[in-house]
Amino acid sequence: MSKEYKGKTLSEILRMEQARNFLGKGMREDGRELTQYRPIDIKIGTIEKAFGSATVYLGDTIVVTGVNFEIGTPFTDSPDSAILLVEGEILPTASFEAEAGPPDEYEIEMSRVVDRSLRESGIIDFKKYVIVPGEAVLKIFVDFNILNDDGNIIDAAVIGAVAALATAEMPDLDYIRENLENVNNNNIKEVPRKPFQIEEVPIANTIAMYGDKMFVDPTASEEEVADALITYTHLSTGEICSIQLLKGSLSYEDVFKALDLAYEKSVEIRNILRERGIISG
Amino acid sequence: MSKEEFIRVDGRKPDELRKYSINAGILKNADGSAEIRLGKNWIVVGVYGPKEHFPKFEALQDRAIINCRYHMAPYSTTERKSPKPSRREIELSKVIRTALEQAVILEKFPEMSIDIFIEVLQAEGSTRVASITAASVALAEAGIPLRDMVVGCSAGKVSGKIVVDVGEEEDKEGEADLPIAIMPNLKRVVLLQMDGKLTHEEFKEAFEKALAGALELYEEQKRALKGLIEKMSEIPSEGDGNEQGV
Amino acid sequence: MKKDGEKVSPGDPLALIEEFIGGRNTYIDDSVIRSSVAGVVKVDWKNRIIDVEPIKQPLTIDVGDEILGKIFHISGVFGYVEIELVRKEGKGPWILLRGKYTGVVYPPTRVTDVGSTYHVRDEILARVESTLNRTLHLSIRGLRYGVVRAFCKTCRTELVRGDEPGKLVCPTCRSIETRKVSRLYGNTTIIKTLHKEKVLNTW
Repeated sequence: MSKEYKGKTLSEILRMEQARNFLGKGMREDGRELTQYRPIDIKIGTIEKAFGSATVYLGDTIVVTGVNFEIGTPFTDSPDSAILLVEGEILPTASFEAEAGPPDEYEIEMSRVVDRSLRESGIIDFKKYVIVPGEAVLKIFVDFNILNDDGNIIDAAVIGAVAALATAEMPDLDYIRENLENVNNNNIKEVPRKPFQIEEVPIANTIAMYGDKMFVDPTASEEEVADALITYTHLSTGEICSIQLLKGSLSYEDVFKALDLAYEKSVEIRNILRERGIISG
Repeated sequence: MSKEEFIRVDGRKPDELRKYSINAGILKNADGSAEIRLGKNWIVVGVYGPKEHFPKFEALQDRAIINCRYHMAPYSTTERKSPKPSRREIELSKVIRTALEQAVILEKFPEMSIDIFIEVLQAEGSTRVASITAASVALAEAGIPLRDMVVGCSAGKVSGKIVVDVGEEEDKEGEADLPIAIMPNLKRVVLLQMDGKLTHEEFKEAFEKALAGALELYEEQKRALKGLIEKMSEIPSEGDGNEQGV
Repeated sequence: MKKDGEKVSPGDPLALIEEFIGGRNTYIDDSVIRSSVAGVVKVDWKNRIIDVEPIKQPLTIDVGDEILGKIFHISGVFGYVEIELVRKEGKGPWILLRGKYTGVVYPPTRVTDVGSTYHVRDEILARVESTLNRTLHLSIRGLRYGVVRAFCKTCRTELVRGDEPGKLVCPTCRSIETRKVSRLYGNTTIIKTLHKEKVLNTW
């Protein structure tokens, strides 16, 4: 007993004991199965002012996502490609530990994993949204905020981003081309709109390890005690488009066991999005 | 202009507030929380504390310090906003904080601090007063002692007419905007700003309209808190948090 | 005047000071007793006290509470303690604190060398004796209170109870140290006790 608790304070030991009493026995504090997600509620169009938006409730985790479009100048190295900007922030309302001010390294990591999950997935056909090659392209902003953090914010944020993009309306690019003189970022919201087309649906699934127990959708306290956390993002084709080992280490075998579990769960979440009419197919 | 009622851009009458609702206790992690919807405004407030103030030498020996942050989400406005706090957001954080400081019984918590985080998720005019209205519900939900609720409302002059609860369009087109916040039982003003041009008579009329609007919203604050009190009698009071099953 | 059981919110008038005494969660403004919280009115007709039962009580550490914490600094004979758990009024469940709280502990008797009472890194069970000058003054007088976990000066191994009272032994290097030892000393004992007394989880 004492060896494992070396250097730990009593309150840390109490937390570890609690984890052992649940996860160690293959149980969850909230009564879930190890491979069961918390209830997912997705509300579309919660930010009417944005071109697209969604609020995701994953248990007690709340993520608000807004999608906006602007006219931008393309990067010189890719003159005929639209620009995607993904920025995520954990709001200070999210938890006792969350702070106001510039994001810390965990927050930036989370934001970048969500960014990669979207960017690498092919959810957006960047070639489709060029207004004038080399001069003007569509700049796509995906901003998301964690309002309450009860763990697994990456999975929730990717669901939110997909839902907001899939249901977004975009300014009609033909109209912009015809009225290039008059349309700017101040009045882009008044431009006639068309549904925004997504090409792929990435789904991120974070797998947690505690001892030899593997489980999905960790709560904040489960993340704290987890030995390892890894996120895989899958496409509808079954391909992987992003991986991030967020915490700890995994055995060679567990890397692939976790991958299989993540894929299985990605199919489940894809079906939820389909059933609720957020994505088609 | 005869007896005919003046109708505003969004179809409201001069004394009519936009549709509103307040909910308390919406964030699990916060000690107190509330959200307000007023027209398209959607504002969420989380309160943490009272907690020991750090660094300790900056704590006040006779009372608590309130930290208040008013912040707008990038997607909250028609034109995307940078997530970095602007000078406007810093000013509003300050006026909201001083308004709430009038109500919080700060002497109960010397050398401690109370954090109030206001997140404007969607903005449609009069956000500062809506923020105060939600923040005082969040403080009450946290069990932090207050001398009174703080409730805010705005009035303004639009096309020569004095109207209550100025919307975004009206704020842009209008001649004046007057946000106020009050303590309704103690009958005191805790926030008062004006921007535009008003005669003394118009100011008086606008003040009275804003006051009437605030008193209407005060009833909604009480309704939100009543819901929590009813819940309280259902569950036996045993501190907060879940009992460990170990 | 408000009736027993009535729901009130902050600022609501409850009674006049001529009629009643303002009790818990009330304050006086001019001659009016008002509620300072959202909650339910409790009227004590016998003693003419009017209280409000609040929806939530903010967590504070007060006189009579028990605490568990770690000594992070010693200055003179004073030990500075980072408090991690609190037990209101020394009864009911332990509460895991989310924020930082600090207190100051004193040796229960006059000592010249505080090293025989506690050390930096020791974890102690103590009682809040006073909150004078806004400082949590902690006492370890009594059998229940004192050091509950301590680590060897040289090798940092957790010390175990020695044969003599007040003595702790290092199982690795056999060195002997002295402390004001609580009767709940040791990982197993203190954790078993905490569970028996229940731990509320606020994290």
